[in-house]
Amino acid sequence: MNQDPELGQPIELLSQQEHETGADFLNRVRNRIHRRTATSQVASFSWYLPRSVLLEMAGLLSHVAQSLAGRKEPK
Amino acid sequence: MSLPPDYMELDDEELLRQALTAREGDLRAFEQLVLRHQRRILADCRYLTREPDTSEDLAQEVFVKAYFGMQRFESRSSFRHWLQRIKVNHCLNHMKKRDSRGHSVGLDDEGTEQHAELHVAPAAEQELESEAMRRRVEAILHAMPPTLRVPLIMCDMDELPYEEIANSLGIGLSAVKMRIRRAREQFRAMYEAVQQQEKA
Repeated sequence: MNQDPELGQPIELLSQQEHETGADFLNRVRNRIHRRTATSQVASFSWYLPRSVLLEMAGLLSHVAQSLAGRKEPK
Repeated sequence: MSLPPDYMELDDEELLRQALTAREGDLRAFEQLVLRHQRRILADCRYLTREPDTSEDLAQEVFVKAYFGMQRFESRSSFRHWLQRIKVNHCLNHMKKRDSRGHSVGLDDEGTEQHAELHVAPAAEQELESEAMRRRVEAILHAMPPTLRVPLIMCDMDELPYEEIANSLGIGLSAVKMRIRRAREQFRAMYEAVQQQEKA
């Protein structure tokens, strides 16, 4: 903490300063948080979805390749 | 089934722990922190930026930043001081952007500005003393140059140490100490002048 001899009234008034917020302040903070959460979920989903599709397709191709290889094996 | 905690009775750090462990979408603990600190953060934003119209937006953005950054909170300082740091950085960035667009005076501009708000005495006399005092402080801060006002608010409102003020403003430690001393002198002189003006 800054210990200064210059402190005292009226400087100490500064540490008590507050200002009344609007009635919907909390609602607006809540909405901003929800909006940002939703945006980040959409962003992560838009990356996750193509990745999942690609992985599924790779799995499918590998499965097809394995079954073809099985058919070619001599009886 | 356990009872939900009484958020009103918890201290800031415990509320933060509750907010961190809450289910996704459960903002109750964090909202209690907002309710507890919103008036102070708003006053700080108003006085730092001198923008009454945008200070509510800035204060809301401070809380949103705190919400998404709370996992990085380290208990080396109190939640209040951590929040003050977010607010200071957010407001300083806002002011730099604003000044780079040429909207207002920069952080390096000197000189006391003339504000009509300094002459609020007749109306203030009819109000409660605390409200009159708040308006008086706000008017004086608004009239002070940014070079003195910003370090004064960071030191005496936000209670940040000199080193942190120097780092945030990108100036030396001795310059910070000198500015704060001058700012206090100017604030005191203007406060007394306004008081005398009101009595007259």
